[in-house]
Amino acid sequence: MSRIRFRHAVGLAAVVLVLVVPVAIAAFVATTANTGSSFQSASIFPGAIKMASGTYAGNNVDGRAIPVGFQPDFVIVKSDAAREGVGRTSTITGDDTKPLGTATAFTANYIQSLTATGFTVGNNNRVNATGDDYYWVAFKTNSQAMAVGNYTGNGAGTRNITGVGFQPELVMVLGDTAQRAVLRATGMSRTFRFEAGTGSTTGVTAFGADGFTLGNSAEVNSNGVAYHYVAFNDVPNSIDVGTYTGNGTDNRGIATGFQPAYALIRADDTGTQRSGVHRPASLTGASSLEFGATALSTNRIQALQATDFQVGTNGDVNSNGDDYYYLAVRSSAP
Amino acid sequence: MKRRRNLFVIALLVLLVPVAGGATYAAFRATTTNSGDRIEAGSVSLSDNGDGTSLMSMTGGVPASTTSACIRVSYGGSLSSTVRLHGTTTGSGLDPYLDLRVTRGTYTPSTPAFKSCTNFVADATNYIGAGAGVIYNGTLQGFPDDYAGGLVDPLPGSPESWTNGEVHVYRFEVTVQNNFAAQNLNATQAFRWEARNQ
Repeated sequence: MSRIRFRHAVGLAAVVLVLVVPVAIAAFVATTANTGSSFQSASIFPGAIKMASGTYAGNNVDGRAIPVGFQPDFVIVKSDAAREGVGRTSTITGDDTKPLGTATAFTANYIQSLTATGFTVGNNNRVNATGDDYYWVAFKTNSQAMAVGNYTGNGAGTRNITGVGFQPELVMVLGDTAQRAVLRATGMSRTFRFEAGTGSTTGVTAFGADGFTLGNSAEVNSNGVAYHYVAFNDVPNSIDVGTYTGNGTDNRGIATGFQPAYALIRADDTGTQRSGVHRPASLTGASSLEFGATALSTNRIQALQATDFQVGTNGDVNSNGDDYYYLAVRSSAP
Repeated sequence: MKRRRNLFVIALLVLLVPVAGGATYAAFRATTTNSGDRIEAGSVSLSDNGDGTSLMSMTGGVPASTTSACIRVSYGGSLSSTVRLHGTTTGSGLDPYLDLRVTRGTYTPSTPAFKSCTNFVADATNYIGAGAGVIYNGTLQGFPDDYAGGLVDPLPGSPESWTNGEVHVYRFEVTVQNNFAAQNLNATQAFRWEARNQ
C-alpha cells in the first residue's frame, strides 16, 4: 500500500515537473542584413497633369488674387451669369486675356497675370462682378501631356507649328486679333469656335509628330498677328481626347476610364451651329458652362463621375447622329 | 532492491529539475559584424558580401523605372538551419507602388563586386510560378516585415536546410508601377536573412 502511494507520488511529481517547469529551448539564430535601400519617385510623372478648379464670388476689386496652389500655364474663367468666358496662357504677357465667346482681340482687366500661386483678375464683369459666381480651371504644362506656345501669323496657306514636344490630340488657338478663339481635336472635320459656329476648313488643318499645321484662316494665321496655343496630348489615365456619336439619350455616360476634373465638349457639326460646353469639378449640380455670354446651362455636361462624364440631351452635347469630340482631364499630379 | 530502485527514481527526478527548469537555451545571434562568436555546442552563422552600403537606390523614379542589385549570402554555422527573408519598410508610402522581384541563384563562374548582377545565374527551379529562381514577386509593401511572416527560402513547402559553406545569391529588382498615385513618394527598405536551426 505504501509502495503504491510512493509510486503515485513519483508519477505525480513527474507530471507536475512537465506541466509546471517551463522547458524553453529556443533556436540558435543568426541574421545578416542590408539596410537603407531607398526609393524616391519623381515629383510629377511624365503625362501627369497638374490642374485645379475652383470658384469665387465676384467683389469688383481690381488686382484680386485667386489662389490655385501652383503657377498655372492656362486658365479659363467663366461667370455663372450671362457673361463671356475668358482664357489666358502663360505665353501671353502683360495685362491681356482672350475673350472666348466673341470676335475680340486680347483685352485688359480680365485675367491680369498668372502668378506663382495662382492668377489675378481685374474688375471687369467677365471675371469679377459683385454678385456673380465665377468658375475657373487652371492647368500646368507637362512635357508629354500639355503644352502652351506662341507664334506670329504669316498668312501662308500652309504653316507648320512645331516644338510642341508631342503629337497633339487637341489644339486651342487664341489670337490677339478681333477673331474668335478656336479649337480642333484629332478626327474633327473642321476647326471650330469655342462658341456657336459650324467650323472653318482653314484653321488647324492637321496634327503632326511635334506640332500641328495651320491654314490661313484669320482665326489662326493672319500675317503679323500674335497667336497663342494650348495643346493637349492623350495620356492614359490622365487626359482623354475622344469622340462619340450623339444618340439623344439623357443621362448618358461617356467613358473616360478615370474621374475627370474637367471636361469640354465640342460638336463636329458643320450644318447646325452648336456651342462648346465645359464643366470643371468645382461646378456642382447638373449645370455646365458655355463659353459665350450665357448663364449656367443644364442638360449638357451633367456630372463628372468616377469613370466617365454624363451628358444630357441638348444638341450641344448629344444630338442623335451628330459627332462630338471631348477633352477630359484628370487631376493626376500632386 | 525495491528501495534502491525508488531511490534511483528520486535521484533521477532531482537531477531532472535543474536540467529541465534551468536549461533555457537562449538565442545566440551572430551578424556579419560579429563573426567571431563561437558556440561550442553548435553554431548558426550568416554573412553577406556587403560593403556597408545599401543595396539599391532610386531617385526620380517614373513608371517602369527599374533598379536591381545582387547580394551573396553565405552560411557558416555548424548546425543546419532554415532561412527566411524579411525586412522592414519606412517612408512616405511609395512601397505599394513598387514591384519587387527576388530571384535566387548563383554567381557563375566568378563573383563580381558587391551589388553587381554580372554572372548571376538564377536557380533553374520555378519556385512560385514566376520564373526560374524567383522566390518573391509582389509589391515592396507585401514583402514580409518580420521572421514570423518571413519568406521561407526558397519555398514554404520545401524549405532548404542550409549547411556550412552554403552560398546563395539573391537578385532584387524594383520597378515603379504606372500609377500616378506613386508620384512624389519615397520608401526605405531593409532586407534581412534570418537563419534558425529549428
